[in-house]
Amino acid sequence: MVKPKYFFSETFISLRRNFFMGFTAITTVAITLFIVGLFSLIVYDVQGIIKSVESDVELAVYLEDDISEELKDFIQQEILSWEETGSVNYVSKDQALERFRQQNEGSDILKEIEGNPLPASFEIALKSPEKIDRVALRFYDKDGNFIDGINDVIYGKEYVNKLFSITAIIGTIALLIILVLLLAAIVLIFNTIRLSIYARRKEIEVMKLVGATNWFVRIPFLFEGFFEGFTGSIISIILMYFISNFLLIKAERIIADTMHIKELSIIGSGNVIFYVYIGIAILGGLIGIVSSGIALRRYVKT
Amino acid sequence: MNMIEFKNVSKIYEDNTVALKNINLVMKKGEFLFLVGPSGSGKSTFIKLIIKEINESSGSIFIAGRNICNLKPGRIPQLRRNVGCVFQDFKLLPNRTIFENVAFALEVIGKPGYEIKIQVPQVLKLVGLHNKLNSYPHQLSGGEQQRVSIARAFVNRPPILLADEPTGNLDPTTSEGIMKILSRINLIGTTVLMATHDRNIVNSMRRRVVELEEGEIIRDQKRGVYGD
Repeated sequence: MVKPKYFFSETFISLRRNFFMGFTAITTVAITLFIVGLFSLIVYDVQGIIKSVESDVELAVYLEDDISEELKDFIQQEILSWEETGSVNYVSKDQALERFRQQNEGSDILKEIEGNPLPASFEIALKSPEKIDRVALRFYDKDGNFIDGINDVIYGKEYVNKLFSITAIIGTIALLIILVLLLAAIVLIFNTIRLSIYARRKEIEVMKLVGATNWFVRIPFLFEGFFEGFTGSIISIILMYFISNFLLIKAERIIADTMHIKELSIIGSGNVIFYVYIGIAILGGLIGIVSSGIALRRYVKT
Repeated sequence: MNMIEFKNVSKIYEDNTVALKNINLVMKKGEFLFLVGPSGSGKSTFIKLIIKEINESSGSIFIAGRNICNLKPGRIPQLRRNVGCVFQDFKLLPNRTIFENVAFALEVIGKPGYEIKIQVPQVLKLVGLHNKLNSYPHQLSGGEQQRVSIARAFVNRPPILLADEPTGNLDPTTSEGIMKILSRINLIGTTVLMATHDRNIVNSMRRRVVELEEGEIIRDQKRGVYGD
């Protein structure tokens, strides 16, 4: 009774017979999944950009001018021993002045400087930038004064906190949008496939009438649903491939360059694109076959 | 041998309309029976019960000696392969040729291709359409379409053929042609049950007539006529 050849040939014959419905279903899958996939990629890259902005957050610890060499070394060792610390860069008074001169070249302010008013400092980059508050607190004693040898600690507390709350909100919104898009895609695909089965309810009726078993009725439709979903998702993957290679990456490179962001996630994220592609292919086939199955329940009862 | 047997069968639909009331009827193998009565008298319900499109509310139905009341859903297709069905609206698939329409009935019950190639032209010859294998339903007249639908119902050689108002949409001359085919099929030994309210046909055929009125059998006559 199992006749794979019949089911395969029947699938393709009926795709040819019902070309318009099949075409509609495939196009729907392709367009909706393309939107979901492309948006996911964009969100992923924006997250990458946000991460690299976050990792630019640094803590500057200014030292007293009269700090002893031992204390300075001790503080540096101490900072290096913290697990949050990514790297520590010591900037001496001379280096600070040099840097200041370079940044303000040609400005009148340079003429007014006598001697070297700039303090030496440690610039601390953190592995986990969101812990910056906790790290900064270590330079204070119980009473809220700076510990010995420290003149000031600067890290733009407000700015950093705002940055983190904004990035958290962006992340949540992006996730919600992806979920909504995905849901819309699923509903749209399901309805299209349901319509294509509705258009052929007469065929199902006749099949049942002449004594086809339920599975014999179902299997060609399930094949078709799978084929439509899978083909649609392949088309959307091809579209995404071209869009991401020829537009997205270029656009992001420009954004990265203008924002002075060191790393651009998409360039180093071949794996992620690949997973998105695989995910979409599986999703397409699955939605197709499941939609057919659900839509058939109505017509294939007894 | 009893091909169709109704024992105290009643059918009450969910909206409480009583379609059939305590029906008792026996049809022997090779019999030809007209089920007559006005619209709404229960003729279609009668036919739907036999192919288990609906279930009886009480009583028992035997097909070829087998009680079908407790038939498992998985066994229903087997029942339908043994009961051909013809309807007033033909139920042909518009995007398939005549050959494909008839072949479809064999394909979906898993018949191999070589058998289909032999049986389909044979049955189309029986209904006189062997020269229109590649036409589409819309290219045929109503009578021809009904003959295709009969061919489809009979291609699997079921022992029972049910026809629900098969001439309902056809003119008298064309109807006569349909009746000739049904008689021929009956002569081969097929049990034929035809629901109709076509007075002329019933009167000219002089076969067994069962009359339904409001769900009850009010007359069962050998070689009967339509009635007043």
